[in-house]
Amino acid sequence: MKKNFKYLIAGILPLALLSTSCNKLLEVTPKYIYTTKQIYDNDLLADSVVLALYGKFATMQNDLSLSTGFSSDEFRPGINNFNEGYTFMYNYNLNPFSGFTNSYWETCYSVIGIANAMEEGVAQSTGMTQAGKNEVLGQAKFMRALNYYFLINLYGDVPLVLTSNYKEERIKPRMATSTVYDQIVKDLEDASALLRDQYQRERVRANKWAALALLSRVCLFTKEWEKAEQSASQVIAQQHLYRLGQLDTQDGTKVMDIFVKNNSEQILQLWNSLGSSIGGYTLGTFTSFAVTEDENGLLQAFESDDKRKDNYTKLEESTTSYMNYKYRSNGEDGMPNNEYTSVLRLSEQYLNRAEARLQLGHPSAIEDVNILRKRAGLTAISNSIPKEQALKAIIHERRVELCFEWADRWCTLKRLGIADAVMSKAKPDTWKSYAQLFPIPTTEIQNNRLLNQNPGYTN
Amino acid sequence: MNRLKNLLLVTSVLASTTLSAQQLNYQGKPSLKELFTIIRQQTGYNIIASSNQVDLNAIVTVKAKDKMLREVLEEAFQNLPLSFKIVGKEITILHDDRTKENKTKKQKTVQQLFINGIVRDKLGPIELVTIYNKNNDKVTFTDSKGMFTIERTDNTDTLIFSSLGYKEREIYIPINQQKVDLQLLQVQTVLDEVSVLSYGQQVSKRLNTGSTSGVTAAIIEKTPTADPLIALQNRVPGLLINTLSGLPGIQTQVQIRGINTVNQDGQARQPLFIVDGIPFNNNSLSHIGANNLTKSILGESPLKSIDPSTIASIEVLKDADATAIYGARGANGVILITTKRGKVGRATLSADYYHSFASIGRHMKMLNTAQYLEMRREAAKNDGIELTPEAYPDLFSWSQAEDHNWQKEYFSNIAHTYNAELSLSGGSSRFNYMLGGGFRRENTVYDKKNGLSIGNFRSNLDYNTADGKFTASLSASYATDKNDIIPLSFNNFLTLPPNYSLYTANGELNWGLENPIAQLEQTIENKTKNMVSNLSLSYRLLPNLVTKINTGYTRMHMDQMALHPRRSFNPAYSTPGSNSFTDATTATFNFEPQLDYDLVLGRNAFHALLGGTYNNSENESINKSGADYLDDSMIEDINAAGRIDILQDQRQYRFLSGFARIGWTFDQKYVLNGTIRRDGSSRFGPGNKYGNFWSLGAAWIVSEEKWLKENNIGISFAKLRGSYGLTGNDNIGDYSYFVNYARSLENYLDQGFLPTNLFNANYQWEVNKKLDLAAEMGFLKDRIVLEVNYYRNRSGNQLVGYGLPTQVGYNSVNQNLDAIVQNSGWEFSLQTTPINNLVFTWKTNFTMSINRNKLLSFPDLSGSPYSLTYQLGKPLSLTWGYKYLGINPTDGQPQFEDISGDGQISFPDDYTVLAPNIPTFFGGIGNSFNYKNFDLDIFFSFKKNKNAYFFPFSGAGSTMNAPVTVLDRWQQAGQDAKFPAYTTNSMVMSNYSSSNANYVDASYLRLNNMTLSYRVPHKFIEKIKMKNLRAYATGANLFTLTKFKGTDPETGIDMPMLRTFTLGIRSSF
Repeated sequence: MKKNFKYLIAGILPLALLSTSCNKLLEVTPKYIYTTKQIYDNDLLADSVVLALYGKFATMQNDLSLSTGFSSDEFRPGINNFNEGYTFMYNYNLNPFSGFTNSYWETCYSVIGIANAMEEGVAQSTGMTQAGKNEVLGQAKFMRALNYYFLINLYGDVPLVLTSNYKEERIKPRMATSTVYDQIVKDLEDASALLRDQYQRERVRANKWAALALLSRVCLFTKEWEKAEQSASQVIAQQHLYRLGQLDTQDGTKVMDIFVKNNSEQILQLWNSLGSSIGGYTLGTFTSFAVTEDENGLLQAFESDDKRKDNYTKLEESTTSYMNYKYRSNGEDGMPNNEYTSVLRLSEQYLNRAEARLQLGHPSAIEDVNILRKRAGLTAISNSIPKEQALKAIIHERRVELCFEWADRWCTLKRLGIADAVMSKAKPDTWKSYAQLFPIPTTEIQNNRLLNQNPGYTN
Repeated sequence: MNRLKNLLLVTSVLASTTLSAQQLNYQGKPSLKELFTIIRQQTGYNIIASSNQVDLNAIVTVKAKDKMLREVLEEAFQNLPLSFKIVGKEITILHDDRTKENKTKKQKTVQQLFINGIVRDKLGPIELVTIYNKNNDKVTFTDSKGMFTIERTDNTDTLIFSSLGYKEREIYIPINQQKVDLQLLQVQTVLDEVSVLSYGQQVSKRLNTGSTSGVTAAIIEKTPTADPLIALQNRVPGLLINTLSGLPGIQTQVQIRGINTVNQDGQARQPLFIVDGIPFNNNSLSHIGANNLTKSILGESPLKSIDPSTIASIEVLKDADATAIYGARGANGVILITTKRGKVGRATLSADYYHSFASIGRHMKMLNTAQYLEMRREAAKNDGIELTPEAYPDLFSWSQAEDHNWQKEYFSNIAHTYNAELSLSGGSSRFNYMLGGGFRRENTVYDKKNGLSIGNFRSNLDYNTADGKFTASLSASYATDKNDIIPLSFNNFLTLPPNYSLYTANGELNWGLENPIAQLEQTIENKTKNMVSNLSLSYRLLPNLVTKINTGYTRMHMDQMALHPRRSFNPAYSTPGSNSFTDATTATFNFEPQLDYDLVLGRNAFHALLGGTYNNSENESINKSGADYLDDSMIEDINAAGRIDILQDQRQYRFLSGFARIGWTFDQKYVLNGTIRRDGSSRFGPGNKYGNFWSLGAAWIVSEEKWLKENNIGISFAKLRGSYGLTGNDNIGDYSYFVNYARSLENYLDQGFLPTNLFNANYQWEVNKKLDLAAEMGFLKDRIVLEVNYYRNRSGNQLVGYGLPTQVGYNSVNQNLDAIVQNSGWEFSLQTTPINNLVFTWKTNFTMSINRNKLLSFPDLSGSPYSLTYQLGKPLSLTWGYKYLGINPTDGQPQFEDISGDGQISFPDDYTVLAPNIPTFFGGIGNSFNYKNFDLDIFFSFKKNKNAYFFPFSGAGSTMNAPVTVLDRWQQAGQDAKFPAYTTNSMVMSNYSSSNANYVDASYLRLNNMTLSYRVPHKFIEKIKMKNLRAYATGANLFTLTKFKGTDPETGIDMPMLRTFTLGIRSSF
């Protein structure tokens, strides 16, 4: 029996050992996947999230510019319409369930989701330096602001999500745009304090001035004229960093360099692995869109001597229609592949300041406009024109200078409340006032019962 | 004859040496029946006793303390007219009344003569048949060749031949007859089949408390496919196998008793596969790390690396009692595959070969050129659209005379399969072996060059020490296959207009439409290597206590290459060439210690199993893809790519559990089994890793009750059984309880890392509560065996990737959902043997399964992301869409139900549940006939599914052909046609496509398999030392009765299952 007992012990012992080391045995070692703790352990790794954040945002690249070009008065469908979605944009045939516009909602909120996680990751970090924390936090806040700016401009009131606590955030009502703007302004002010005032390598990450540049634009929307004026002035004052780029000259001695990577006019560009050129994208599908050339169209808006007409648009002979020519490298032989998509640039700061100063009653508000007109080979506008005309001049200048860039025209029309007036003239047959807002994606409404659809759309 | 005698002597010596070491410990006065149970449990010896010769209730006295088995038996039989014989691991008990009488007479031996002969069944010689000479009480056994020699008297002798599973035979041998050639009749029924249970336990069906069913090698052999699961289709009650395509080696969808989870990931719905005791990963590796291009291909079935001819049985474990021992992972049922092992006996060399010829059995009738062009013209006319050469190239620039039947032109070849197997098996009482290998090659009906080739090797070795205390079993198999079949889209050929030309006048691919044969310019090559190995060691610590360690290691590796040269794309889009290379490995290590204890107390028999499982599996893959190639000639060179993307992926999964199972059998009448286990999974966060599961099973063998036994009303067997228990599910993917930062795919300056998920640290085991009730009955000496099974499984605490609004940054988060899915149903199986004699045997087999799947509860379903996927009280597989109300006879427009009543048909207001897309019932009817040396098996399968997706008729607005059924369309006012007026209006047709107009009845009755085989009589092959020679012809998928107008009601519009004819031979030496 004693012998038997020994056997029993021998049999059971391994089982007993097994149970004591259970938790060890259930540990797994993930590879190619890292925990929050690992990532925010040092500045360099935490900074890599900034790059991923920009990478995610950059997926929108030209698409948003093109789409809103169609919904505003910049583009019309071309003869070969490869992308049906653009026709829907152009004709305002948007539907919320398989909508062409749903991807903007998704991308913007994905970027915001990463930014929220960064804010929380930095807060937990024990290994990062203060400088490293400032940079990561500043970038997160900047990107969150930029994406909320797009969201409210495309969709109207949207849920304001600032944490990654999905249990709290998943069912949330839409917030008034004014509340969202308050958050944007706050984020940008924080970012301008946190971010560096220099570029590290290229102009592809926001710095202090990028945050201020965006702030000056946002303040036009919130009518905080002084803040808009001051922010723009601060950016313009950085002359060692920022100077206006040049346009083509008639004799061909100079070539437009505004959109060339890291040009002095650029405040923020999107990095591009130069293997695939930005121009190539827009030009590759040139037959699917054309610059509007009718009487209300963009082409007619250029003054006859405006050099920008030939710098920013080009006649494509095979289709007899005009295309976007701001980005020129198309991957073809002999074309330099040296452009980055511009997000913020100095020209806009002059326009922002001009408008803010005009609203503040500044006597020489229009001077800033004349700086751009001069570069375009146009005559200066007198300081003495009435405010209403001056505003018109600024908006005109904005239209031709910032055409095809990040929905600027579309946002400006809505900001000034002139979308109905302008668009019903430009597209009398198809314009619908409710089209100022894109539909909220159906799946979002399904997953967040406090969301409701924008007027004019049925789920 | 001398040789034979020696041989017999050797076997009996061997037997007695083994026996001498078998010791027994028992004291008491058991009945014989109890004694035999004790012996079996303590020594592992099987006892064969014919109940009409031996009184099992006789009480004997046993005083055994470490006593030899032989001694114990001799003592026990002292006062009984019984004797025994031990051969191998079997003890045969013989009725011996004359022995005693004769003893007094002394052996007045006259002339010593012998009778010799051979005993066979239909398949060949039978080993270990007991031959008893009534006249002189001599007993002997047949050897491995079925031969025997027995002493005779000087008069007519009466020999009794008996063996387990055979009908006893008594024959008279006249004085002048010396040789006997005798055939015994098999009477074994399903009830005598042994069920393989979890962790290598075996139990006869008669005492099983759980719900298991399966198929044996005999059936698997008749299905000449690479994937052994196909053999189970419609044969096993409760097991639904959906074949998705007729291409070789494609994964099937397997469901045991319905879908248990709202999680739509196919992986979460799969049962657990166990091969020789080791969990087998049946998730196609081609999904791991594969890029979008290769993902479109249906997954390859990993099971194809298990050679069907080496499989001894496949068991399907269904209820809580049977699956509880796999606890955590048994929620969706368990499929146990057991491979063949060597048997005691002389070496047998088997060589098998077959060749299959396969073709598409049914084509779908499409419009011919005249009808197609008429459709296009009529649609334009109906819509008042002007025909222009630009919009209607098919009416202007294309040939108006050519009339292609694309299915016939591209899919009418004969696909060939060559399959060869060679194996060697045999063994002694100490050592058994089975070594085998095979090769298989299969191509497709559209491509002779490319195909699926599989080579495999297997060795199964078993060893035990002379004292029988220590045993070791090793199984190792290795399979390698290469599949370079290009999965052409069958559907694209159906819709291709009949007057189109795939080539231009100068022989180049015509790109007027997307060219479906351009895919043949691409290369796809999957190479898989699969190793499965298992070592099992056991040691008998005490006569009734065995410790066992089971270890296994499996490793599957896939090397996948896809080349997409520029020439395979429409030049209009100037798509540059691209490629993708995937290298994926999954390896699993499994370790299972066990303690096994038996105790017999009077009429009570206890069995206890205590064990643990540790499982570690790791997937690792790397995918390299190159894009933007300058020229097709460089397409295999990853360095020549304009852009290279590399994706690495790894998943580690660990599983740990401890379990105990206790079984109690009383008087062979009442059986009670209980299992408890605690499982840990690495897929859950800290504090949530463990779950507790249990089950209880009981059986009452009613036919063992005296009152039923004595009333001879033809019931030979009756059992009621039931089980209830909890099993779990952890199929939610790895690592999701913490935020995963991973390399961003969107490059920006340098390496970026981004959070890829939201984390929820609190999700837990999904729990499936299973209830199972069954009655098993045998009538007329088990010539009719009926099993009726009812089950009800409720799966709750569902693990899902719960949909989130993207405002939180992500689409979903893993969490438990408080929804309950119920599967309930009935399973029937009826096996009969209407005729069974030596000349002719007829057996039938009928199975049917009815499963009702229902979503019982789902909190806030309408406010959840599943609001348009599921509906309370309805099955999970729902079809949603507009309800088609037929056409309006006045204008020929399709009509749909306007549920919202707003006067227009719109999504999602008017979307509704149309019908569940699952079979109402399915099953099979098998008949097998045997006449002399001929066998004929006929197997029909049937399935009722009223709601299968049929060819989508997209109108006539684009250059797409339609099935001939659309000829019944509306043409004039008042006409009541089946199809709406031809139209080019895509909005109208889009509603039509999203309605139930395209769902049809796909119920069918199919002659699945018909096999005729002929065994060459032994007298012809004995001379060439052959043991067995069989030639057979099989027809698979011969005809289908169905209303479904497509090619195959199973695969819908995908490549149909092929009609296959196979010729083969099986031989053994």
